[in-house]
Amino acid sequence: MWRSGPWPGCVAAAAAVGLLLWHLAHAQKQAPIEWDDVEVDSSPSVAIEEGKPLKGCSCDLSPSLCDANCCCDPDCTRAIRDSFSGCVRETLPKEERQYCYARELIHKANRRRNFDVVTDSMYDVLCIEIDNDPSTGVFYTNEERRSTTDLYSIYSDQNVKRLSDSGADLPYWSFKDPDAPYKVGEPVVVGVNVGGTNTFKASFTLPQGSLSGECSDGGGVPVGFLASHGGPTDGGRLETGGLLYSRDALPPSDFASPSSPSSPFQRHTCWRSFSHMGEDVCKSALGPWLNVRLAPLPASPLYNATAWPQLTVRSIKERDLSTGAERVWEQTEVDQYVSGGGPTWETSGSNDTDALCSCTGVVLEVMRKETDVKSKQIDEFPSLILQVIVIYYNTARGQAIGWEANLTVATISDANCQPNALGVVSAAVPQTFAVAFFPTEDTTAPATPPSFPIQRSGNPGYRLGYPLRAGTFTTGPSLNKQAVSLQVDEYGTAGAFLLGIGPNGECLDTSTPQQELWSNRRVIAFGENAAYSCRLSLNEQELSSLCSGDSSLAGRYRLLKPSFDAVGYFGNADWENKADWLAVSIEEATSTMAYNDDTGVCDGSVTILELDFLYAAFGEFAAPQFRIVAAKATQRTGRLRYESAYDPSLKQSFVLSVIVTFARVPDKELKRSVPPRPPLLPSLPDDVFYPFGVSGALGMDGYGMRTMRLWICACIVFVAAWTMDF
Amino acid sequence: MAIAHSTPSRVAYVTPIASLGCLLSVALTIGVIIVPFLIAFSSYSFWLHEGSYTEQPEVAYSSDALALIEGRKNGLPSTVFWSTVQQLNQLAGTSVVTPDVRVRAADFNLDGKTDRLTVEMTFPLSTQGMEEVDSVMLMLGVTYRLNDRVRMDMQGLAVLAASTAQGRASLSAKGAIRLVQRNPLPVGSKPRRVYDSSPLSISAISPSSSQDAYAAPTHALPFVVRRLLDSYTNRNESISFDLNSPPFWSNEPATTNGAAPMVRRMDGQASGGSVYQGFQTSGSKSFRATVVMEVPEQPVRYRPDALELLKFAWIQCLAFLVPLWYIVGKIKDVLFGKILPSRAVVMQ
Repeated sequence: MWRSGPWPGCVAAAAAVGLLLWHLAHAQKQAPIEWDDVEVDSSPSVAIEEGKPLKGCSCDLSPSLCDANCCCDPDCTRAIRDSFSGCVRETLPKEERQYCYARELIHKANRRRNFDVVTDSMYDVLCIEIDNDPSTGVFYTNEERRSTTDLYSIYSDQNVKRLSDSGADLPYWSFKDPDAPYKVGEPVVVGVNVGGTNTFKASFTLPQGSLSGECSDGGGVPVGFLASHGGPTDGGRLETGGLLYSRDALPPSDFASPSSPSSPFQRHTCWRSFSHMGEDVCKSALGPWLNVRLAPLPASPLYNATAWPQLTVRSIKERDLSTGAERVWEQTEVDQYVSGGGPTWETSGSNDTDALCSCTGVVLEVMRKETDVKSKQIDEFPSLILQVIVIYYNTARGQAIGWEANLTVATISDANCQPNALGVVSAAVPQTFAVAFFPTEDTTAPATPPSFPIQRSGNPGYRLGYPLRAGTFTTGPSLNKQAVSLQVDEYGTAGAFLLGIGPNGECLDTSTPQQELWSNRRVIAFGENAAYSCRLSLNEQELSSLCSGDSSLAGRYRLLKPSFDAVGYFGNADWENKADWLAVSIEEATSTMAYNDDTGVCDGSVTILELDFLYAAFGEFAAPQFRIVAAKATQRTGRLRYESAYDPSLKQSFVLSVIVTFARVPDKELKRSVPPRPPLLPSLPDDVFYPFGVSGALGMDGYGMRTMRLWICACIVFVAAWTMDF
Repeated sequence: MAIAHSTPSRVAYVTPIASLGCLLSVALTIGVIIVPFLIAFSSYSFWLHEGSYTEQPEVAYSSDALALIEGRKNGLPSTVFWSTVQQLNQLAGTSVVTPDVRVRAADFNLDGKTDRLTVEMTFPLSTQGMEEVDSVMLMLGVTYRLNDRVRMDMQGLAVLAASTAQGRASLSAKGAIRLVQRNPLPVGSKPRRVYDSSPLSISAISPSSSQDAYAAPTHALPFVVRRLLDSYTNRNESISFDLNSPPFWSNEPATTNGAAPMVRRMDGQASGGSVYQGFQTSGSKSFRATVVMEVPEQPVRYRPDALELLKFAWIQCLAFLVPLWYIVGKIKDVLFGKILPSRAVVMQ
């Protein structure tokens, strides 16, 4: 009978002993040194003799043990060797070697009587089957030792790359000279500053929308030095002359790109979602980058934090979301905003019904009806959400010397103060980030904001997709002086803008705030046919009033009124030079509108504005420069018919359209320009008759010089002929 | 003695007309002509039924378009439709939305022919309350002209159909315009204009209504669209839009040519699943479709004209005739010189 008393103790002891033995057996060991066997002057175990094979048995890997099938292993007895299933091949037996060479080479180089060859029909080469070459083999002659300096030269020659050379763990600036300037396209470096100390370096990136459109701060778009305005920084894609654009590159104003092609700004817009308006959200994701400092040079050392320019908030505009009006903050407000670390968060209310969290000064905006707090509805509102950053650089070298931000801020209020359990997104607003580089000859950032030049749409010829340069003729104080008034957007793009289309496609009237009109503008791009439409929603009474000339409704035709009467001949038309501009022929509709109550038809209403442009190529054929040669704006009338006979109060949509058409004038016959042939006679220096002047002193012109040369040549010929006669 | 010069002598063998030699000579001569023809004909491809060459067509946007966009509105299927055909818009009723359309043609090599045609359409969705777009069918009218061996003016369709599992706000697709032929095209000086009318015209599927421009089709919209496609693909020659890469859907805030994006809003009914459920994922209130059409050189099959037909046939006949002529000549030399009797042998 088993007794349970001592058994657990015995088992534990046995286990402990076993574990100790296992540990001893698997513990780290050292190779035993028999010092008696150690010689003072020893020679290498493997001697390398030129022209001789190295001694040894390469399959004998276990000293004092017989390696299976290793026939040269001295530890294997004859009996064991007889039991081998074969011998591990040490080297290719000479009788089995078959060298193959190109047939034509072997025939020319080897013409020996006792040379046996076979042909390989598969590969069309001549092969040596039996080689009676008396040599004992071919041997390496490498040096036994090489210096460490050879190491790197061989690395270089052989293009050897260490695994760590992939650069995955080291940023590019780690390899740069600390004084090396930025190069075009090179990522701008910033440092995150905490308490006056730069903690780490990173590439300066703009948040970019992922596939879902959400701002991905971690994987944003690196800002390349001077990389903007279409961003062709890799050399091969730069547009040249009048070529439309490179096939390899996207068009300068690719439709998918939100950036205008004619702008020095690099711009990105993405959605910023949040599930609640807590202090953490307000202070972090929604604020400006106040704790980021700019590296003057790519490899500027981190420790010298004072040399790294801090982001200066140059201006802040606050938009009243209910009216769209904007107010520029006073400098004291700006300073307070910056010193306070950005947006301010506050909460009001105490229970679920009236709790409201507000974040003031976020770099985004959204409108929210205060009366709809309980339903947590966020109202629709066109938003222009900007964090515009200007980086100054020294023109003498690629050194960043300062940067500043211009912010447009607003207030977000949301009833969700705490994260909800489901993590449902409460709202998402778009954020726009823009960066531009501004040159200066100074070593410090200028005190006044930069004035970005109005961008050209070509130089001189228009480029495809760039804004059509358009404006209105303006008479100056002196009546005989005329210039052209250009509309320029906040990014320096001057173009033919169409205003009057609402954010939802509705027709905006002239009473709409300019901000809303402007934020929904359409741009006419050169060479791009387009149709833009807006929807006029009217019930029968409104249609009748409109057709009867109700001035309060006439403003709805805002879209169909030409907003410009001058078009630049070329893409670089100077707005102060009237001769650079072509007057647009405007043909307005003259018919009067008439409404028929019986049929519900309004005849004679303007429904379409046709903008037609002709352009032609000038200059060299290989680099055509496009110029507008004719422009016309025509208002077309149509019929608006109210269809709903049952309920006259129902609104019906009527579409008003702007049709933009570009057509290229067929080229006339190309003219080949041939430069004048070089003169047959050699040109003589002016002082050939020194001290007798022929040009200035004798008053000879070009004709006289040519006559003189002819006389000289005639004399030479005469003398030569006379000499030959003799 | 030396041969200063030599000329070949010509020997004429004279036989009666009704003799074996004369008949044999005539038969061999006829055989020399007939046999090469028979050999060439029986070895196929004697008559050239069709030829081919490559040409870059002149392609332009014809201003005809049809767009059928499907998505979700409050979780239920919703449709947005637009076409340049008034009758089709009438069928669509209130789902018609007029887009912004931008068209750009690029000529890279300055040869006067469009190398890339880009069409962008931006649909405001808020009028329909559509929240997300998950399926798009675009039919873009394209004029297609051949000017080389084949002269043809045609209007075709570049059809793009794409769908995604998640609602998105923009779609971009890039492909190439290709000529699709059932039978080779005739050549001639007069341009072929059999299909030089809009394939989106109602008359294309309902010839009886061709006389009345305002006649409405007698089917529901989806069936009309399907019949338009059927009618188009039944043509002898048409064009296809072959995608170079899969369509790319994204959800970036849509900025229509400079316009500011819109705020996305919550509908208050979000529950469970994705954090975006119940959200207007296309909350920019617009959907943008961009189609980039490359116009490469492409093979054109044509029916050769008579001259080209005879040229290739004659070459094949000649290939057999020349050696046969030589062989028969040698045979006749032997026959008349050594075997068959002749009434007279004249040295010429």
